[in-house]
Amino acid sequence: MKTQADQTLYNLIRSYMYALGTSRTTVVVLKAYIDAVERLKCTAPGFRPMLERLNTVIRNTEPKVIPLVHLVDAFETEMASWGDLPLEAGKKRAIDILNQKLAGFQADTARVTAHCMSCISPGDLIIAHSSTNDIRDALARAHTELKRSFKVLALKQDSARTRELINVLERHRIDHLLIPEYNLSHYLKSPAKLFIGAVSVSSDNQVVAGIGTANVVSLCHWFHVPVYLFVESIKFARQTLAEQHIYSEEEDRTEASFTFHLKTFSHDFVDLAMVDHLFTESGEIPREEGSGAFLGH
Amino acid sequence: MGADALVTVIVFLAVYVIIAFEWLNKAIASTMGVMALLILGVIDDHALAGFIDYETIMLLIGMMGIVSVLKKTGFFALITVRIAKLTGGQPLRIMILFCAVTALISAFLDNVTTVLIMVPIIIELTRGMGLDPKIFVVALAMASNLGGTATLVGDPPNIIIGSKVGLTFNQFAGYLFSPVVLSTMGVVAYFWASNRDSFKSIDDDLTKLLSVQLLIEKIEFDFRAVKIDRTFLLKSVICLGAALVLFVTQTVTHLSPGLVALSVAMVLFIITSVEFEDVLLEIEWSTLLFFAGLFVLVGAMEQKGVIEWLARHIFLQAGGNPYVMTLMVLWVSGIASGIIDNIPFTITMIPIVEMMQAAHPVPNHILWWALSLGACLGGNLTMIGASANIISVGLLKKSGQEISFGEYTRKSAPGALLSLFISSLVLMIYLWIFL
Repeated sequence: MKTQADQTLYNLIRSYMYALGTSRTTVVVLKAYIDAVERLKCTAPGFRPMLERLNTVIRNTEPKVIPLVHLVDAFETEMASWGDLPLEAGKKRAIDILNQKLAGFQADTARVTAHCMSCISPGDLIIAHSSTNDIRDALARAHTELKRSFKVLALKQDSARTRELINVLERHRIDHLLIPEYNLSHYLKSPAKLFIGAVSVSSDNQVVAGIGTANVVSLCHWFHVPVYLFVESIKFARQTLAEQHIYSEEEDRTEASFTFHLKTFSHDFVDLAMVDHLFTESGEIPREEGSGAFLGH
Repeated sequence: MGADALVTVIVFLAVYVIIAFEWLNKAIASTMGVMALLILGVIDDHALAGFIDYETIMLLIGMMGIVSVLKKTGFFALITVRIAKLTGGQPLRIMILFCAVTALISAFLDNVTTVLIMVPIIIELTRGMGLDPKIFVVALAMASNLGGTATLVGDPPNIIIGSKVGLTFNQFAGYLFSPVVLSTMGVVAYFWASNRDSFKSIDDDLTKLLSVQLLIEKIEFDFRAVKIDRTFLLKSVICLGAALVLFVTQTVTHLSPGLVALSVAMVLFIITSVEFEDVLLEIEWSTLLFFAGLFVLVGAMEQKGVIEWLARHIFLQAGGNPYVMTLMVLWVSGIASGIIDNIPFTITMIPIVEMMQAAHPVPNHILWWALSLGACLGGNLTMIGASANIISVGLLKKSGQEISFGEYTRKSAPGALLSLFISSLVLMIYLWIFL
């Protein structure tokens, strides 16, 4: 049963995902998990059920944070082999495993970033939407380390997410233009590349990404602008789109004396068939292999 | 009392009723009262200007100006993030640290600004931990009113008393610091004792611990979005510090607090090159107009002999026992301020206390400290007792939590009565020492 504390955690994780993207949210949550285990005061027999309970809560976030779900699954598998341990030894073991998972995930993220950098050529116009940390890092490093000159067309999303991207572009003095995503059609006549990240890719080959992604990808597809998707393989889910728990809410809203009932979803989904280039930490993956290549993850 | 006096009383009571039931904006109500007296020929427009206490108005404009610049510096965001981190998500630590810092800030800046800064973050923290934010918000509003009582510039009743009676910043701090600190401790202890479940440590709940870690991270993340201009911040903090030093050294410099606040505000505007039009928008002109109107109404009552009549027939009936007089001023002010606005009440009470003091002198301005403590702490009795309470309730509502007048009073009144009781004890000790 979902408690108020669980719901609070879901809201928090979702707000992180809006602002930072899935990869960084995964890192932030894992670090917070480690800190929480360090602070935890309980009995030795109570420790493992508490970890299992938290893992269950993490598995049910809305939407699911697939890398995090896979990492806690792997963590729990390793927990099964512990046997009975005193509390402090159990905490140390848990922290060691979580640190190891965190390091592994960060290494994968770094490899995806490197592949993303290699996709940026001099003179490119990169359209950035639902940019994850991998993409933001790649843009910065391609400019500073590879000295590549390119322009970024940043599509305005919610303020926190947009701020993250613009801060990176300004800090590294990357030529950029911020536009509302609904004005994108004005810029698609010239050659460009669309870079997107994702929350997850479901087993039925649907990419779960930030709101607005479906429109942007469709438009780029129509104008033959290649769509590049950068995801760590750990983001490929074993479940279908329907099981990704995309969060929705309904509310009565009044704007300019007009009251209406509005239903909104927290994320969009896009068919993987609309993606032209799919990159994971292993490099470019033939799109038609889709999530099938990672189901054994 | 003559016909003019009767008309003045009727107009004054009408204004009080309109303010109490919030039928009209307070500034409009008091200005309408003044206009009525002018039209009826009770006062003339030349006398009107003489009733207004410009020292109070200058002090308020100056402090509002300084606060409006400070708000732009990111100074407050810096403080709240630091406190949030220091709490480590422990409920008792949240209560103690937030109340202490709120009281401290309120001692120097206006209470409404303080709760606007502190309440949203405490709501976010406590809700994130699955706690009931109401008790924390009520405690914070109370701490703000308590802290404001400690200094001459902390709360409008003190500004008015200080200006009208000529008491210094140091005298306020010297006499009111102890009752305020003891009362704040008493209020926090009361909230802890009456809500023990809410203050249980979360160290035995892994889900809550994770939420708290994420919450604190999020607060820090949001803070990083605040652009801080260090030079701007430094200039503003130096100016605030300079104003405080000049308040403290008033007996040496002989510069009145109003003159200091307004001069420092002007220097701050010049050296930070802020958009003056923006600053003017932040100054609460409606509050200043309300003050000016009330000064005129009470001035008219004083001129027509109404105040003297009230003093002789009610307050001086208590006799000349300083203990009885002090307790009477403290508790009448305390209870009245819980029900009606403490600003008009203080302005009305000043000439009455002056007459009590003249008839039966009480040493070391203790009657004034009783009026200050009563008027400021009484504001904690109910939801409508102080502006900070109303703003805090509004912020709670904005976050999806409703608190009724009755529920607020049930949570705040015992703490408010406790603080009045503690203040009574401290004032009795003062009298015992000085008599």
